[in-house]
Amino acid sequence: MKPLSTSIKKRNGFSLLEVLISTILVAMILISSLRLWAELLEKRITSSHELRAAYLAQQVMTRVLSLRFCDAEHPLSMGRETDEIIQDSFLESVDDIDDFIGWSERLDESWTRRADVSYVLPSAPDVEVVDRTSLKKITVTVFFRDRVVTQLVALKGIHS
Amino acid sequence: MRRIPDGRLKRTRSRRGAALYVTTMFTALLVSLLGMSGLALSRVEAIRIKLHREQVQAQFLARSALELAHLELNQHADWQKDPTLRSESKPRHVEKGSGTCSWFLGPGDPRFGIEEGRLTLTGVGRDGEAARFLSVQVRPKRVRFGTDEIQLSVIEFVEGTWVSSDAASLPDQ
Repeated sequence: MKPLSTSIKKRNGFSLLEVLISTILVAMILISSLRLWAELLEKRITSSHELRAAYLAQQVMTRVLSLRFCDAEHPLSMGRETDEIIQDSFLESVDDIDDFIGWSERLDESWTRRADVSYVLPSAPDVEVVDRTSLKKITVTVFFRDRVVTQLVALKGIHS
Repeated sequence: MRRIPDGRLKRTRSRRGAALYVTTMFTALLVSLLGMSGLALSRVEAIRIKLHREQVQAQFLARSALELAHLELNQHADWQKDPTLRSESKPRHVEKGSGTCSWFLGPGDPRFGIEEGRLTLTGVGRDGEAARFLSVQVRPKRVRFGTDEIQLSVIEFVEGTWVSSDAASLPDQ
């Protein structure tokens, strides 16, 4: 017959089944919570990217809309005039909105913003035309690693 | 040494097992609740940021609507008296699948002083769930011709009267 103290000691611990079940449960909790955290982190990063992209696009669009419809000296030309000097800050050196045709700026390794200007029909502003009209459409697109994060569009008339 | 009866030992072990089960389940519930609330919060944040972007776009569309209105009114000889211009114009897309812009004319805003012939031009921009409108005071352009001042049908913006607001005070369509 076994001594009584040894028998009580054996029965005081958890059974193998209990330990196994609780280990499985804890592992399941950990795995699902890690997945959840990963998803949360991804959503948070996406949100901060969208916020930054909206700010970057807004900054360019506000600058473009503050400029003249066409160049004062060369009203018929479209694009950057040859006599215009590109200074350190492009945004500060431009003087009319079509200077932004094909403009692109790489902010760092991941972020790029691009602007484009085209003539559109005043009766149907979603239709781009090659001929000169009294209305221009400005499109500003912000990319993160070549993926479009945000895009803003606006119109500018010849009278403003 | 005191002998512990068998029945009491079994009861203690089953209680311990139950306690372990309850603790594990409680931890699981707590972690899940924390995770779910975090996820819900991030969803709210994502919606807020999407709405912010839409509001920015709607603001530019409202401004675009004023540009369109400016062009159209300058082609309209009798823009001050035409009643059809007092209701909102047909919303137009600036880009396929994007938001829309429209505009309408209303009576002059007395907050900017009383002046005959002055009207309020409101540009409306809509994108997704956001709607913004910009209002400006407009009047027929006056040109000095010798000693006289003649009034053209061409529209002139009264400076410093930009008023911006959200969809709350948009008129019924």
